[in-house]
Amino acid sequence: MNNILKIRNLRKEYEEFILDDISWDIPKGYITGLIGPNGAGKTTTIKLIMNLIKSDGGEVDVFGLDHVANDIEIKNRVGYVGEEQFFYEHRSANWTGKFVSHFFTDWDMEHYQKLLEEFEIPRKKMIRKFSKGMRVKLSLAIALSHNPELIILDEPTAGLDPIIRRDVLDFLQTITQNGDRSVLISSHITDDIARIADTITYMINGRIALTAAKDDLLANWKRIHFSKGALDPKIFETLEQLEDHAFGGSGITKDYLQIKESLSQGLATGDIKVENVGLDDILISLVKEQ
Amino acid sequence: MIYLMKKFSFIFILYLLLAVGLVFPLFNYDRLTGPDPLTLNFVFTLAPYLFFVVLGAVYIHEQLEQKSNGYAFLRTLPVKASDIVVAKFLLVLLSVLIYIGFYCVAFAKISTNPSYWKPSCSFLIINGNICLILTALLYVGIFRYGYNKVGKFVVLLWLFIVLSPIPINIFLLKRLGISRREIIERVVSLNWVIVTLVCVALYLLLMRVAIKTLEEAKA
Repeated sequence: MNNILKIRNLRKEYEEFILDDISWDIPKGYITGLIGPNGAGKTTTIKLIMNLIKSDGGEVDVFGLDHVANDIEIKNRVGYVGEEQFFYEHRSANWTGKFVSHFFTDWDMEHYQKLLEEFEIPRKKMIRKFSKGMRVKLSLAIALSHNPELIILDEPTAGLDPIIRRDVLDFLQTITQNGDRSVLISSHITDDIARIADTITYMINGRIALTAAKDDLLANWKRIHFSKGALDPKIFETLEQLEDHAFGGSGITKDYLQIKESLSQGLATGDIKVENVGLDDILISLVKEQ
Repeated sequence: MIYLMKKFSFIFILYLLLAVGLVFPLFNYDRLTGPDPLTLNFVFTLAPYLFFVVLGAVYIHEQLEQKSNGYAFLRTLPVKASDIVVAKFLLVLLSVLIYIGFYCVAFAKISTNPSYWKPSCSFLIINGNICLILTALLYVGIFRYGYNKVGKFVVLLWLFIVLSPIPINIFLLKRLGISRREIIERVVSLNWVIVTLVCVALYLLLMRVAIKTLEEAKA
């Protein structure tokens, strides 16, 4: 698998937070979701990738290029939507489009105008009068109008109403369909990631806690409900988020495909039931594990 | 870079228009028609007015950049820090040149005696050089310590420059018995060509420092 982004031993220290020795690859042509609780280091990682802040160590290669030495080329090939959207506040979306068009080598003004229309962004209204949702959409329109190979979005759906949120996610899925483009999307809204991501990375307390393909993740992580005495003690010991009930209990396994055979008898008698878990259940498990 | 200059130029044009194009020539026209412009307030006050125009424009421009997070926006775009800094430094240089050029032409047009207007021009050029260095230092300060910290210092400096003719008038001219002509003559006695060469070289050096400072000004 080709990697569009390669991070090795990336480190950033703040007074109360350390991004600790991150090593991570992002495959080309896929949507990668970055999930983590607030303050986990998602935004810091993305800012480091975009060379918006200085790292305290490690390497970041985007398209096989060092992210500091090739800052301009990388920004030309990456569409970025930050956690906060910065614009010249007293200017309009039209003006902003013209302004940024001078810096991107592959700017498509026609596409930008089309996106403004599609996202219903007022063209002549001052940006300072925009709602949070409008700002995100404008940022997205800029990020998508210079034919980027990689799109990096930091909490893009926060502040968007459900209809626009759905549109944005569908749009991201559409533009990655031919495999030329890759998307890195960070969010603490796990539903968004579950909807579109192909691979998922969990970040907790400044560390990568888990990276896996979404389908593998959801196939392996299951909640098991069991009657008293129905579960093999060895399996019982591996369960997380254990809950006791009057007639048994439940817990989450991260190796369902491995233990499936051992559960077959209980599954047949109805003493064991298996339930799918959501990405947020996995996040909670990982947080508790840490 | 030209496009960045165009974007940044609004405040500079406004200040130049206010100071050079419209208000000041009309306001001071009668003073130029005196017997010896060199001794008049006009030439003497043009220097602080130059600082008012350039430092004022930089101050307001940076305040607007700060308010709208201009640098944060530019950082997300494929723009080199050097392009941003060079655009700003060229605008300052251009503003100073326009200001000096305008008044030097005005001196030559209004005063028929070259011994009046030539030293006046030299005085203005030397002050323009000082203004360039101060502005370059100001930019380095803003990129290093941020607008909020340096902005207050600029206001104090600007007030000092604008109000400096008053203490100069009281202490130098009245108490020490030094005339305006003597002050101007002392400044003019410096070779303006050498002063300009040295100051422009220093200005370019400070521009390089400013580029490096902005490149490294990341959290």
